[in-house]
Amino acid sequence: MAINSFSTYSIYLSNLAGFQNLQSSLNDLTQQLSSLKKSGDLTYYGASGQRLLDLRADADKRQGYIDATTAASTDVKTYDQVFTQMETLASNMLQAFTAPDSDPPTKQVNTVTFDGDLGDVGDVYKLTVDGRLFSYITNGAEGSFEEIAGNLARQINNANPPVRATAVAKGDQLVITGTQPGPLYDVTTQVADVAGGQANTMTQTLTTAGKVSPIVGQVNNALITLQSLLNEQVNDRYIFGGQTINDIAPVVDLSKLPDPTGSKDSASGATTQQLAAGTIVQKMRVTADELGTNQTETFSINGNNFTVTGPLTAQQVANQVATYYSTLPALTGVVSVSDVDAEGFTLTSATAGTGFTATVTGTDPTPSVISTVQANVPIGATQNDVLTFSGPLGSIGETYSVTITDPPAHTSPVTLTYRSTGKETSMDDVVNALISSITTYQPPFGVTATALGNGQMQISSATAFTSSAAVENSAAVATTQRTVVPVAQEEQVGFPGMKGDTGDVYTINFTSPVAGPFTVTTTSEDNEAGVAAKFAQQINAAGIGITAAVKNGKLSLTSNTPGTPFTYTAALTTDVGQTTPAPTMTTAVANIPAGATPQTDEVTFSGPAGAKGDVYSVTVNGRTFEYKTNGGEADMDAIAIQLAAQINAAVPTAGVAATPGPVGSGKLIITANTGGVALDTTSKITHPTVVTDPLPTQYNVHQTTGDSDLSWDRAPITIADQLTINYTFSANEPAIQRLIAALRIAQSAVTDPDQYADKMTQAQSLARNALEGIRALHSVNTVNDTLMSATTLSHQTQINVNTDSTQKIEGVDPNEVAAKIQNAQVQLQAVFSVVGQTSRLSLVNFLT
Amino acid sequence: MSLTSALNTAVAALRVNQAQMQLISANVAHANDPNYSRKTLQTASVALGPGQIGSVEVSGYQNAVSASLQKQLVAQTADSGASSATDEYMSRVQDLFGTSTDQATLSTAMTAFTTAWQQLQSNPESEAAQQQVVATGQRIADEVHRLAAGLDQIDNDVRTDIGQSVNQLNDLLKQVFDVNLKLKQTQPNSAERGDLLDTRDKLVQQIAQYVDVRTVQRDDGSISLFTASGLQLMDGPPALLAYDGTNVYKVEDGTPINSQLQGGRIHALLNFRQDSTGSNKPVSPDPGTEVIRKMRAQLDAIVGAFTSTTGTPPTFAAAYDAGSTSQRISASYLTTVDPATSSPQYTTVTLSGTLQTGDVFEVDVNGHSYSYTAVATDTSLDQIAAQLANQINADGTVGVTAIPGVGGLQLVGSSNNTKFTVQTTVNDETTELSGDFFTGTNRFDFQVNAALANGSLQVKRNAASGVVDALSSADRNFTAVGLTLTNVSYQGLMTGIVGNSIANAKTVSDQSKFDSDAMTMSQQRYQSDVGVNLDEEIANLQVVQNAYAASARLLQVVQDMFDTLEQAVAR
Repeated sequence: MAINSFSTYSIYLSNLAGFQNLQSSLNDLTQQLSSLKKSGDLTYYGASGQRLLDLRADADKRQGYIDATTAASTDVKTYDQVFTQMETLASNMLQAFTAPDSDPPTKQVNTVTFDGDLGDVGDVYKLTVDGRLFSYITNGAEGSFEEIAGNLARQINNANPPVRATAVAKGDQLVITGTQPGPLYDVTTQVADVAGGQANTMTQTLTTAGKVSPIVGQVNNALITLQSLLNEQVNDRYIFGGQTINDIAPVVDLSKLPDPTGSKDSASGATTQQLAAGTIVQKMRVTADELGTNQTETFSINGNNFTVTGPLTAQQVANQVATYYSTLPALTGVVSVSDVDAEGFTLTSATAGTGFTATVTGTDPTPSVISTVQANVPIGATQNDVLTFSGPLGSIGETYSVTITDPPAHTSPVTLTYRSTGKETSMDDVVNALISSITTYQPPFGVTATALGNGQMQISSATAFTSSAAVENSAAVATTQRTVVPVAQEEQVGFPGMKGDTGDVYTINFTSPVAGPFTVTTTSEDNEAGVAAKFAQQINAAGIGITAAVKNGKLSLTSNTPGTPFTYTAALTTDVGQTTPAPTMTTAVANIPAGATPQTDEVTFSGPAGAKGDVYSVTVNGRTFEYKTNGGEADMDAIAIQLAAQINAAVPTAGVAATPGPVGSGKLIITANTGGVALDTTSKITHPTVVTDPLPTQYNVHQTTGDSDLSWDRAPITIADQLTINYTFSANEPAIQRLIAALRIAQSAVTDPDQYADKMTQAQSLARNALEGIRALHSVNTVNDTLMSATTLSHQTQINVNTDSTQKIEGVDPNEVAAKIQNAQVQLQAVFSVVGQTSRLSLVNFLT
Repeated sequence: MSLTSALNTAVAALRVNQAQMQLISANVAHANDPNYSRKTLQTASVALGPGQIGSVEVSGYQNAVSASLQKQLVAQTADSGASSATDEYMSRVQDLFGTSTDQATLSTAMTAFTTAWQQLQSNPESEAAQQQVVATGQRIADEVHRLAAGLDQIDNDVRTDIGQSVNQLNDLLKQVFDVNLKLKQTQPNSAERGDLLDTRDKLVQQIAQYVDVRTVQRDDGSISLFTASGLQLMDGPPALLAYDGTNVYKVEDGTPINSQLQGGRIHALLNFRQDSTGSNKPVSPDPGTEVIRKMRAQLDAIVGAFTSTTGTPPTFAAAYDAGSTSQRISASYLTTVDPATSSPQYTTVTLSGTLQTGDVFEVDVNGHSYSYTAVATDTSLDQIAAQLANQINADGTVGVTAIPGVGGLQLVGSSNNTKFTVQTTVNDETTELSGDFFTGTNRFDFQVNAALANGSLQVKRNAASGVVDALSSADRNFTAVGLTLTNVSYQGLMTGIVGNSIANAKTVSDQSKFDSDAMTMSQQRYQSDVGVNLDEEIANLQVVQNAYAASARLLQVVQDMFDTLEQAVAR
């Protein structure tokens, strides 16, 4: 008999399963209520688990974009403020650069006027300039007040230490000009006439009052403001510092940067002792001056005196003196004379290391000048070079360099540089820094460098070497071989003493070139000038290569070809009536033939190589050749080679041959194709105002050699998938470079009235371009800002969408869960109740 | 029929009732024993003589049996054993890969790596950002290592588990064999036989946990065991099985029997470890099959994704390699031959970039520093290398010989098996790693370039932009065993691997729960049929009690009759 169909254990299993299921369900629901998630176990979600992971990863990625964008947005906001201020600054400065055109700075000009009668001996002319007294005592041989003014001008210009003015003689006046704008100096005059002499006066007037530019302060303040803006920091980073160097202020004190139009410092070098069998010989150039009547000059070469007495032209003085010394036995084999031309001659020692003396004395207030082309360099056991640096200190980033070639240690030039910090107290600081570089350089130099003080450095070695010094990059031109420029022969023919006869016949006959005879038969109305005019007409009409003219009432005959002489005779071949004197023939300018030796000019480039965009230009007789550096040039030789190639390839030909100098010299040697052709050679180096992709150390002074070329690239930031923007700006942005350049050039202009207009025009142009460029940068930054804001919003929106999607997958409604829990509890209670009731209804219970 | 016969019959009835009472008592006692089947008493009539109704006696005992339900239960047990084993290890795999969005470490490591590159892109000069890139890159590599090691551990555990399961199966088979022997020695319908049958059924049930087994009843009461595919496990002596780490085989002939072990734990675990590489068979789509192989292959796919330089859009490695260096000039080094007992160390120092006068090159060997500053006459890096080599060779104490070459120099140790250290800088800048941010070819040797990790090289800062693009590009395809992902990013690769694992674990878990429920249901049904119903037993007890009282009354009546007869005779 069976009461029901289930065994007791089966019922137990069934109840147990029911309890377990309900208990499990209750546990799950409780967990859901506490976590508000269906489950913390990804497995619960099955295929939706990956969806959850994807949503979470996408949200994390987008949050990463938001975080990066948020961090960068601080920079962008700061850029916005900086660019706004920079635009205002550029705009104000452009206005300032334009407005003061009519009111530029001026240098003080004083004019000293001489008056009275010359001829006294012992008159004392006293002139005080900038607190320094200059005086001249007359010797009675002065031909004009211009000579007195010229003498005083030489004293002022050669004053040591220099005064803050330069002087030039113009007729009866001496014009004194300040070296800088603004009122710099006082001028006082006094003439002490010799007792019993003529009364003379020397009065001075302030021709132009010195004035400083009204925008000096504005420019300096703008540089300070711009420095502050470019050194703006966000989170300890300099936002204009580029990608990888933004832990260092990107710009230094901009007001202390070197003058971009040229350094005020200078460097020079000279060999003071040469090795045996040296090649350096002493050379001096005598520049002759004309002598007035009764004026004398006594030249003394190694104590051999020779005196010339005026009136003589400069050419005559040079010719006479040169002729004398070139044939003087005492100087044969000791000193040679060369390059005699219309202006002077050259004296050269015959033996390297053996010097000579040359002086000139006399009564000419503006005597001939003997200048040293090459000082005598004595022979010694070592070669000693002395390099000298001079000029004002205080600039930041001024480049001082020394170039040494000392084979066998260094067969190519090695250039060591020092960039100033602005804190140097003397040039000796620069010298010591360079000596330190020389001492520690590897491989070591064979030379020894020592400081001599006063900005001088001596470099010594028992082995021959070459050395040079430079400030920034420099180009110097020196004429190493003069040529004798031909001078056209000029003759004057006078027809004095004409009596008004009709029928006198003057005849001029040219024997070389053969021409003529040209004859003029006088009329009663002819005078000397009339006869000269008639001859001039005939001679010019004949076209014999001689130009005839009437000058001072006389017939002037000038060779059309300088250096090609002519010979002639002039005679009165028929003399009727009263006796008329024969015509006079005077050589006004002697012919000087062209020298056989062509002129050679040497252009020496010095300083460190490696800058990008520098333009090296050489102008030879009006033809300009330029080379723009790419930064890859190893040394100055490379630049010389490039320029030489350009000059030699010039079409039409430049009339010169150019060759690079010896290895390591940095020289460009330019030689005229023919003798007698003077070369007018100039050179200059122009630094770019804007350097595109500047190389390390070229633009920002704190950069070091090892820094990357890319250090100043704009930093990219990816603000969304496949959306990368460049959001930083560096101080090397061309627009910012232009603004800095505009201010620096303006800074230079306000202290340079001579080139004020040119520089200010350049500053205006740069400021205008800078303003446009900064506005463009500002616009880019604004676009970045907008893009970043929009993208951030997009990310945030998508994150919210992801959160919603995540919530739909794993989220639960607490009310629903609570209801389910209650339901499960009811079910559980019901099960317990049923189980209990079933137990009670069992037969066992019934029977008991 | 005599009174004596009637009395004997009543006494026999009492005996039967007592036996019945004892049986009910036993049934009640085992009411909650899952391994006990309900017993019933078999009785037989005993003829007392011709024309006389016979007495009664206990003829035997019988177990409640439901053959069909028992077979179903065995099958369900095998299925449950298989799916629970798979679920157990799939859960461990899932634990390894992370069981929540916060713990899905591959995905979170990838997010951190991407974020680090974004930070480096924004702050390329930041050493912290560089270190973060290296650290998060190493975190990915470490995570791959951890997962690879975890998979190996799981694989090893499964292997051990298979071995133990085979041993358990062998033991159970032997026990069944023992029961078979005892059954042969017992009388049919004896009380002992019922217990033996219960024991045998219990053992068969346990065997089903390991393998889906079929039973064949023999005439002598014993059973033979076969797998569902017909493999004989026991027909007479039990088969002895063994596991060699790959195959389960019969010891007697060494024949692998993997394919014949259908259902049960062993089969599931073998499938879990299965590796059909090289068999030209397509990988099984079953989520519980070849799990170890699939996960290993997917880890290797991660390695390939980070180290491969081919593909469109550019891979991470291609993007990093393509980034330009932010350094104008640099010096790097690479040890090409490690020191060994028969050879010295070889390290190559490579100089690259644009040389400028004043560049300072420094090579540090075993703490000895050699420095050379480029001069104007140095026009090539060969000259720099020669200068450095000269310095090193002039130093007799460093224990290294330098050989200058084209754009670099080779450093050779002076002694075999002696390691020397090298460090290079140019202008005091640590060189940037030009390529191979990650190195390695598989999940074990995958790592961030050692030079980055030890700081001898630094991250190529200008590569950040390209790398960020590469990492965010979402149109990549990845293929690995058991996983094909299209149009996903690197992040998608990570979430795809974890997500695929999650989906498989879910499938297995659901199957396991289903099988478990099914087995429980079958067990309930089986127990319903063969188990003890207390109510029924109590009712039986009432019947027996009444019968006993009736028999006792009969005895009383007979006794009375005897007494009456005795008194009558006595009178």
